[in-house]
Amino acid sequence: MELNSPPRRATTSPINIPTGNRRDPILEPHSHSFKTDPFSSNNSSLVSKASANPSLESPFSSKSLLDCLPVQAIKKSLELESNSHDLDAKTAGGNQENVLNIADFSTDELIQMISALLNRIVTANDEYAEISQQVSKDNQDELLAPILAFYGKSVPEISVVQYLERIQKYCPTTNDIFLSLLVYFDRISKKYGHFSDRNAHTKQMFGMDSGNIHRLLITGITICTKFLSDFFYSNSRYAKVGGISLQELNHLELQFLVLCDFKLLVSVEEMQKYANLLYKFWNDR
Amino acid sequence: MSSSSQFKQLEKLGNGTYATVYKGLNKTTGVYVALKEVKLDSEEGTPSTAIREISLMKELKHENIVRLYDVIHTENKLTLVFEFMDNDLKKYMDSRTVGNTPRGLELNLVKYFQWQLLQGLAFCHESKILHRDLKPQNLLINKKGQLKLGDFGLARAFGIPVNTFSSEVVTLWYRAPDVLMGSRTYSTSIDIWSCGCILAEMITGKPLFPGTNDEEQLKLIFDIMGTPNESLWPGVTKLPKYNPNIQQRTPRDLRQVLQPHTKEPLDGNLMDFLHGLLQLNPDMRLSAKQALHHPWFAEYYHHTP
Repeated sequence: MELNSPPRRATTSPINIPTGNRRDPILEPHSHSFKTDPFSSNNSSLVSKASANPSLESPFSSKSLLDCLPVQAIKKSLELESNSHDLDAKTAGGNQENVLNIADFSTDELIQMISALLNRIVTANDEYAEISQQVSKDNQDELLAPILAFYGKSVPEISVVQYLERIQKYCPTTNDIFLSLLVYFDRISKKYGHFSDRNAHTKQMFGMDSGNIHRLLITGITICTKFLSDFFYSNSRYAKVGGISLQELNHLELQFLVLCDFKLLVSVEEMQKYANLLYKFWNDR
Repeated sequence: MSSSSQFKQLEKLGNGTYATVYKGLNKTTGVYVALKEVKLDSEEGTPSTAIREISLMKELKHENIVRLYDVIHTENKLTLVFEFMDNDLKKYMDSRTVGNTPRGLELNLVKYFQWQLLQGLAFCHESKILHRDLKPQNLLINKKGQLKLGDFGLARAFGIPVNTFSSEVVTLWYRAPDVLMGSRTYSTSIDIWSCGCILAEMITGKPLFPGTNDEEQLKLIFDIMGTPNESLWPGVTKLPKYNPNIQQRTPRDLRQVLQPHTKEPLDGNLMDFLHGLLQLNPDMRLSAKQALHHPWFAEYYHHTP
């Protein structure tokens, strides 16, 4: 008796995968263009400064995605939550123009929209405080370890939009995956937004900033594709495309699952809510 | 979150495709559990099967779905702590074989198991989750006669009409004809076909369609259920692997196929119910919820609030 598990590689993927890119020099490890290692940068690192200052007293500014959306949009989302049995997306979004059709919407445009939103959050969090100064790999608090894992030695230079476009080029995926990422990031932000340490000091421990956004993205996409889609690539490919080592991606994958409490299911209604809010943010910007 | 020191590891219960399962004892509570150990692969990281099983089973709390109590993680291993079940339906049916002759279950037990299978499945489908690997091995039973759905490694969420469904799902003998012909737009009806195959197998003790490859599997199905055509199943000829040259068959009487393998008479309600599950056209199959309201189950739903 055979058990047919889903194919591990997207050999029959319905998504249009660029062919012949296995040998694309961009993905070759010996190539030293920045595209090979999107994280390579100069050492103007906020995080390296941080290790000199292990203080964790000041909180992160933990802006959640919804915080960055227009007030009306937030109100809309609250209305939605109180009215969650109303499954009709057309009424849920308030008006027709802010209803995003998840199945048919252009993924390239969705990437532009998500990048704009993430940039706004990252910029806000970077400005709020020098977040990275609170980050210390020396910290022994095990609750913090999964959060700190997403900081590298330096801040990647590649922009969020370039990074997402690169991932979409070499590991193409679908709109539901990108929208799920927003949900996961928001769940993590809420969960770790107010966190009491061992001395009962309330801190905000998690915020997306320029130091962690890239690793959060590549890890989130890897996990979410493996969860939601029957077609996905090997972790070694995601690692190469994301510019981190396979070993690091495997480690981050587990940390991401811990941050999400291993709960990845996103209801259609929740996904549609985020899609509509994103659309409204984009239309109103 | 538990730690592994909380559990005493007892005998091995089985090797799965991606995990080893042990019986375990919760040292604090004295309750037996099943410990499913998943190795984290250096190439693949956390297996997708584990990601799916954990994420989905965390949401599925129902008396006919095996409960996932906890997940213990270390850098190279995940341990899933499950509710302990005494047996699975496959082993239970095998244990009843006399010599080389398989024996089906008593029909009242068949009905009770099928009822519980559909209760668990209806809950999955309401939660927008497809199981996609229903078969006797994945139905766990205990000494109280409870039956619970297990092994959600191939399961997935559905709802957004994205184009990322594979037709390489479900163990061959329990795979629906539309999926065998390459459909990737299937939904809940994929699990209902499996339920029909399982029902027939519980009655006779033998798998209904024991094919060895996709082609033979379809042939076995059509030999009994008849060959589909556009009038019975609009769209069938457009399926990717539809074979226009397949030998045309007329449907056989399913009761005549099954009755020789059981002593108890198969009544009209049961046969009508089985036909409702084993419709070739996926749109014609009963939903799990409809199936639970079929007259064959009258004695149950009249006692259920």
